[in-house]
Amino acid sequence: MTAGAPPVLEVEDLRVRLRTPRGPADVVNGLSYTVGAGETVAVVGESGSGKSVSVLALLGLLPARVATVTGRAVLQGEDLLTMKPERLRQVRGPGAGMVFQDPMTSLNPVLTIGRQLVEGIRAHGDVDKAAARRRAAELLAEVGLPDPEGTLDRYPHELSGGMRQRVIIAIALSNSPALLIADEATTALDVTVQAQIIDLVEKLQAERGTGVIWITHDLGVVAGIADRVLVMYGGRCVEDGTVDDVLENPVHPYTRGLLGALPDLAQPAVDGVVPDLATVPGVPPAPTDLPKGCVFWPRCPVRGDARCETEQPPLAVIGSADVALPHRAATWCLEGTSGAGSPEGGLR
Amino acid sequence: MSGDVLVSARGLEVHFPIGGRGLRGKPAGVLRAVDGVDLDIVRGETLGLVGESGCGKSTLGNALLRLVPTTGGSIMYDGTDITSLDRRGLKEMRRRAGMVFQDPFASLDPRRTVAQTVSEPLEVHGLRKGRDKAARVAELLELVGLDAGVAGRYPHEFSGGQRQRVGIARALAGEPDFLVCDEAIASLDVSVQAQVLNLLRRLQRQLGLTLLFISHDLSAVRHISDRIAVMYLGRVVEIGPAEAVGTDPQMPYTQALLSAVPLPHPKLERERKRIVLTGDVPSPAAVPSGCRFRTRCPYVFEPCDDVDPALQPVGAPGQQAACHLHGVVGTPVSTTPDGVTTTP
Ligand SMILES: Nc1ncnc2c1ncn2[C@@H]1O[C@H](COP(=O)(O)OP(=O)(O)OP(=O)(O)O)[C@@H](O)[C@H]1O
Ligand SMILES: Nc1ncnc2c1ncn2[C@@H]1O[C@H](COP(=O)(O)OP(=O)(O)OP(=O)(O)O)[C@@H](O)[C@H]1O
Ligand code: SF4
Ligand code: SF4
Ligand SMILES: [Mg+2]
Ligand SMILES: [Mg+2]
Repeated sequence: MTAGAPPVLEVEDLRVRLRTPRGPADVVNGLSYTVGAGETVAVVGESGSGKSVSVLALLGLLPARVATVTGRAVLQGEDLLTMKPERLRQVRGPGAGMVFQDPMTSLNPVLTIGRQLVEGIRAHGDVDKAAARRRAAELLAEVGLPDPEGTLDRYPHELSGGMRQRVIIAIALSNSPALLIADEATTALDVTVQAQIIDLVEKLQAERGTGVIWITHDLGVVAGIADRVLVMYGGRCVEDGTVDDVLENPVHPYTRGLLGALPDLAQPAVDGVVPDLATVPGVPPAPTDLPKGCVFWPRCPVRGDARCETEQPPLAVIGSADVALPHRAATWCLEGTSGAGSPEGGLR
Repeated sequence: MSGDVLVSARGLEVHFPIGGRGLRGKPAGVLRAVDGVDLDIVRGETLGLVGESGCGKSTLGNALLRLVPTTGGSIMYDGTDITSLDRRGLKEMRRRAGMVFQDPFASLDPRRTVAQTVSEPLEVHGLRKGRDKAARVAELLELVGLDAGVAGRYPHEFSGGQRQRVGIARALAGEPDFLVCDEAIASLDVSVQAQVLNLLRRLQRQLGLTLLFISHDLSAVRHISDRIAVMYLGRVVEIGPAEAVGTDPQMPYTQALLSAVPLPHPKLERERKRIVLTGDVPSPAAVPSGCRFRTRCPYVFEPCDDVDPALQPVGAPGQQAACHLHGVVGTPVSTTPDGVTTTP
């Protein structure tokens, strides 16, 4: 992050409530964070914890019929949440590019890859068709697709999952956005291609100061790219801090459980049998029926404080508050958790 | 390799026509998605399948279940050649072989509830009826870690990871012997991934399930697999015990792939040395002559242009790699008049 420069994005108390047949679902419950210029914020957390919904809400991409979004989300001085739809459409692209989690539904199945890319490029820039097509082929080459020219004339179903995902990445990068939101953008890619995409995004960040929100389940990727990590559970941020703080010295019992569930590349087999992986027992709370106290309470292995069941713990600073990115966690039980990682949590 | 073979592919090819369709109809070329794969999957084992995006893993998985037409070679499933099955035979085969698809968003019908989706194989194969069926659906949902109460919901109400579990429940409904999991855990968080991996291993022990586990997550692949096969541009280029392939790869592409695995540990990750592949990424519509990896291989040497390397035993017992560094073994290249080099 460039010190002193204003953040690219400032999210304050973002809340999303969805109408469902089973009543209102509180899917995002008071999320606040900033993304600085050139900074990468990784968002990790439980499947269903509201990661995708929270970023879709920022870009006004949730159906208004079902979603009520409140809070503030200021992108380069303008609040996205109160913006007129026309303005929001202009902002998407050069302001904020997004790589969606579901590659098939974000590409139009009846248009060639070339049509879709060229459209995106021409929508926000004054270029003729031929130039846009050349740029499109360049972009496909940059995301590592073989035969970029030929790929322009093909349809989404003729590409592999990872190739489609790279097309969407190319579309998102085509306008060199100020903010890039990547939702599981590299999960369908092998690690060599993934490394290439990460290099590409880092180049964009260095050249353009693009701020990045990177949602991923891959903690290896997080370790490599993130400046800051935000851990979500039950629609809330339960822990955040620098990548070293969160991955090396996790404090929240959910984060510890998550890191403990990683398969270890060097895991020894015991008598020829690989032991089961550790998991976080239990199921996540339904967003229609969140616990009154701590969201993690029903599954927490160390709950002990009287307040766990009745009172939502606030995100509180652990250790020094006097640093650029303080380490914070929302849990009542902090005893014995600060300082060096404890044996049962964290990484092997 | 020991044990009896459940699925066996020989010289398997899946070629797609590309370009020039439309009025004149004649395809301008072929895209060789799967191009001469020999593969045996042993009953009860988990075979991990890894490789570059677009190298043909999904197409191979689909071909083994006859979900895409093959253009050459044979597939034996439990002793029967399934490339020539009639409709009845295919239906029976599909009950015994299930698939968890790569894209949880595209693979679920948005108009069907979870219960309808999961019970689909039960209906197709007439397995359970009435209350029995509802009980089975509930059991399957619980098996994959979903609350039985979600049975009446529609796919759009679920997150990516939750949908993937619905897909797994559907695949298990017909009690298959053979399951192809195509990126089945990619969209799950690591604790749910761990649950699914444990679940698959448990099912495998309980039901004697045979698994083809396609994934980009090499740690997960190593964790769950007995053996690992590595594909590159339509071919299997290395195969062997998971431990051997994972720690002592013999084919340069496998070595590069393993070196690129990011480590979930910030300090180690910053120090990791990655083998960066340079050179052109070839297209399966224009496969390089000789070794398919030669345009990017850091060790390329003389015979690599002229001889298409065959798998040969190398390294640990049961390990095989297709690379001339271990001795030049393979099929010499012949060139067709239009300059396209092929290996007969
Ligand atoms: N359109 C919708 N209607 C009702 N509920 C929804 C809708 N979209 C999402 N949800 C619910 O909102 C919650 C958050 O979903 P979201 O997709 O944000 O999760 P996620 O954190 O991105 O998970 P994953 O890691 O699996 O992608 C889930 O419980 C999901 O079931
Ligand atoms: N229906 C089709 N028509 C034409 N080409 C196709 C079709 N399906 C797949 N292909 C091509 O076949 C090749 C292999 O695709 P496949 O989906 O098997 O790759 P993959 O190894 O599963 O990749 P990923 O890891 O990205 O999912 C790709 O070049 C793809 O473009
Ligand atoms: S507040 Fe209590 S229940 Fe919640 S995570 Fe902390 S210890 Fe566990
Ligand atoms: S055969 Fe040659 S080009 Fe192919 S992997 Fe071996 S050394 Fe590299
Ligand atoms: Mg999501
Ligand atoms: Mg695939």
